[in-house]
Amino acid sequence: MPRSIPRFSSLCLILACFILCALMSSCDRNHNPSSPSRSPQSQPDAQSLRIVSLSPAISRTLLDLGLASFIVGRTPFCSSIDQSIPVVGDLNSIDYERLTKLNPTHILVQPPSTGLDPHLQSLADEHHWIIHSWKLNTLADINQLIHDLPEICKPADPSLQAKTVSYSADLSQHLSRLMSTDQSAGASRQTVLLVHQTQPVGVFGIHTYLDELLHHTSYTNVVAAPGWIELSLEDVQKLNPAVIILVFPNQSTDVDPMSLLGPLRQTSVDAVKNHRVGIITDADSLLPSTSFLEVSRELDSALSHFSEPAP
Amino acid sequence: MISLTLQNLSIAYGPRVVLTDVSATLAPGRITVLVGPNAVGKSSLLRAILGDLPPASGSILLNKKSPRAYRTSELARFLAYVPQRSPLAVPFPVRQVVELGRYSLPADESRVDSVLDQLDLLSIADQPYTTLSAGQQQRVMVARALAQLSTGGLLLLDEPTSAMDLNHADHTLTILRQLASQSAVSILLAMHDLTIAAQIADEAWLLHDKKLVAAGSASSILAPSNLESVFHMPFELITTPNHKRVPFPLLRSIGSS
Amino acid sequence: MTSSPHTRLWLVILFLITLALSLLRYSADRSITGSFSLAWPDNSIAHFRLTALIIALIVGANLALSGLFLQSLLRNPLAEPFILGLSSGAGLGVMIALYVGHVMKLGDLSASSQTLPAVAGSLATLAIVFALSHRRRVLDPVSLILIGTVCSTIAGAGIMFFQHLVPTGLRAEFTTWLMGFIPEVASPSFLFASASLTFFAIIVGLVLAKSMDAATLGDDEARSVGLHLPRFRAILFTLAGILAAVTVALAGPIGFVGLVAPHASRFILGPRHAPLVIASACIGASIILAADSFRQMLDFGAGRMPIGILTALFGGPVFIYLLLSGRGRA
Repeated sequence: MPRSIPRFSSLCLILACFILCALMSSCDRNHNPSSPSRSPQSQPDAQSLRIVSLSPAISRTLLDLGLASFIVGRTPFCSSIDQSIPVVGDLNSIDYERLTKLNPTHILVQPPSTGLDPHLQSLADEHHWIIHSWKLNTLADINQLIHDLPEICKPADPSLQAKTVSYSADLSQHLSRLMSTDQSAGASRQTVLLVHQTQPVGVFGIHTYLDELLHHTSYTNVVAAPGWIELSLEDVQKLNPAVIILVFPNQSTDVDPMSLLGPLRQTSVDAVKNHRVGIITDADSLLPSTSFLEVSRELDSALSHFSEPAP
Repeated sequence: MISLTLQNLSIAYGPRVVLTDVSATLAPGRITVLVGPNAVGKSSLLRAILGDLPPASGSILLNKKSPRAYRTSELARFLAYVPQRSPLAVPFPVRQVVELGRYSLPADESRVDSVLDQLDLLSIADQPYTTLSAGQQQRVMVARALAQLSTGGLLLLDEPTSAMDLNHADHTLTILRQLASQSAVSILLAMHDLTIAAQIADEAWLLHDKKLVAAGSASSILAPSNLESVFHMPFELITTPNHKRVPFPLLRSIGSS
Repeated sequence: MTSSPHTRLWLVILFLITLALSLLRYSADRSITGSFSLAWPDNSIAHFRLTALIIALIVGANLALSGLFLQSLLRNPLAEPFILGLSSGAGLGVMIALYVGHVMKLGDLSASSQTLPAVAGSLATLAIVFALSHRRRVLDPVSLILIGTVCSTIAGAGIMFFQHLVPTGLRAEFTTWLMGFIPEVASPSFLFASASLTFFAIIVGLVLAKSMDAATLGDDEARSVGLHLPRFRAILFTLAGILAAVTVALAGPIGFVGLVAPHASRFILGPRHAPLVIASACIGASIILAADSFRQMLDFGAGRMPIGILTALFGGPVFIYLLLSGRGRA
């Protein structure tokens, strides 16, 4: 009996080595940055522009500005861009080996509250990578990002460059319109609860971009506290919103939002009683980015169903 | 009265054989000591009789039935056991530990009181078990077994006096003596101290090298010739005032000086 | 089963404390602006409070009883469903079920449908801990804790593994669930079934109290006084595992209550199990009620705190005290 144990464990060890080797070789194959088969149109500019985006919101914005083809590294959460682009981690855990192999020209980040990783900074200095960071919470932050990106990431192709600039101007204009038409002065506005999860209940408070998107509508956020907030059902009941908007990225649109309420369905708030529940399904709706355009459209369309007073 | 017979009994822990081919019958209503060197299988034999350890081969018959064929509560009515050291680590008061002996039996407070009195435990009856000395704890465990045992039963003890002072050891053994003679309890007692064993025992089983090498009356089994071949050291017979002949080990360190 | 007047008095006191804390939880009111007051809830929110109150009672009593049974089963005073990894095992079971539900697009799993995978995970973990601890007959407390910690870590890694597989949106939901929280809604039938189980466990605990007393002796001794160990252990094993699992399905993993409640009971009432069963259930329920009321009062602006944070913050030091004072060994 005891003799078989070392034999067994050595077998395991050999097996593990095999698996490891297989994994490593496959990793290399998948993430070879100069693989010609993947994104052919990025080839002409590959020398000039290689972007690693460490923020899904920035990735989405790059996509909408027509710059997605220059992204060579992403986070696992960047669902809007090509999923075959190698993952280099997120801001809290960066795969430095992979990052070095990718050798980007630009690293775009949303700085965490603890500040940028000094190791990333020193590595960037060493390799002459340019780090740009944006705090992204509000519509103004998004506007800044839209404004900055075409300046920073200039594609060599002049026609593409022109396109990017015009996209940027377009988006910026949209955004300015949204930000200027603040109807908060209007009285007797109906209340909305912006829900991003139901168990426990997680909602958007004020000073979030979704709250700001409400400003140009005839609705107001029922929550007065700032940021992302967790509520008990009791709190929801007391707040008694007239409308509930579920912000569920990637949720299929042909589902009745009422069926997605989860525990909220047990409350007797007006929104539930009157079936005034809408949904926003944009994949990046939780991220303050150029997704605001689609999200704003979805929000308006959801709210338009409830514009007449409750029966 | 209970009868205990071992037939070609072998005990093993997996591939490790502890005892082979043990055949014996316990003398009813008498005290039998189980002697032998360390790790010879005394405790294992007791555990097998308890039904805790299944025999590798052969059989144990308690009233013509294997102990494992009895329901545990049934077995507890005539078989009690005192381990070498109990792992009990809960601060039960002494009285409650003794009451545990009545687990399968109707509660009997007067019985518990008299047992406590018998073993000189009344004064510490409310003390937590865990605060007692090792010798006191052994007395509590003997008391627990006595509270359980009824007339004509079988009592297995594994080194019950190893940590007691001589006075209490003597006292405890006297109680066992009375139990055998007055209540017809059959007692199987694993022991290291051969001088004390010879004084208390009616019968003796001598274990050596995985075998029961001799069984019979204590005076014949505990003779120096038998003991010397098992323990590999010289013994001298000494005679007690009540004319018992008792083996006395001669330490080699003294012999060589 | 005689009990001294002292014991009876204490049981009454503990019952009254539980009752008082129930009233506190029921009336603890935090306004939207964050200010705290005591107020009878109006009809629209009364059922949330009542559900949370009942779940707190069930969860607290379950954890305490599970801890008490495990301590007896494993003959180890530091045994507890959270420390031994039962909660994590149950969590892993639920996580696998959630993942399978997500992949197969079954939609959200209700608490009642999480119970089965939770029970499976919890019992599987307990089986491993039990088997390992019985290979060497009686295991010392610290080794058992180590085994439990390793099991817990493995199950935790499994949970993280499945968390990694699900999309970002779902992840937040899973993470909150992992810290434990007392829900305000539950299906009435599931609530009724859980409450019945808790009552059943208390009854079984009282019936088995004498056996648990006898089981404090060594295995061979316990057997010799007539305790049928395999049956006794099977009952404790199943019951402790199921209690822990139902708790996890209801409220996620909540630590240390299963340890603190039985020890506090022993501290007051001594080692006999009959009063301990009732006292532990009361104290366990009281701890959860107090923590949940406290949670209701606290507001740092980010909403309610998961209850597991509070029980660990208060229970952890008690655990260390038990170790240092030697009660962990006794």
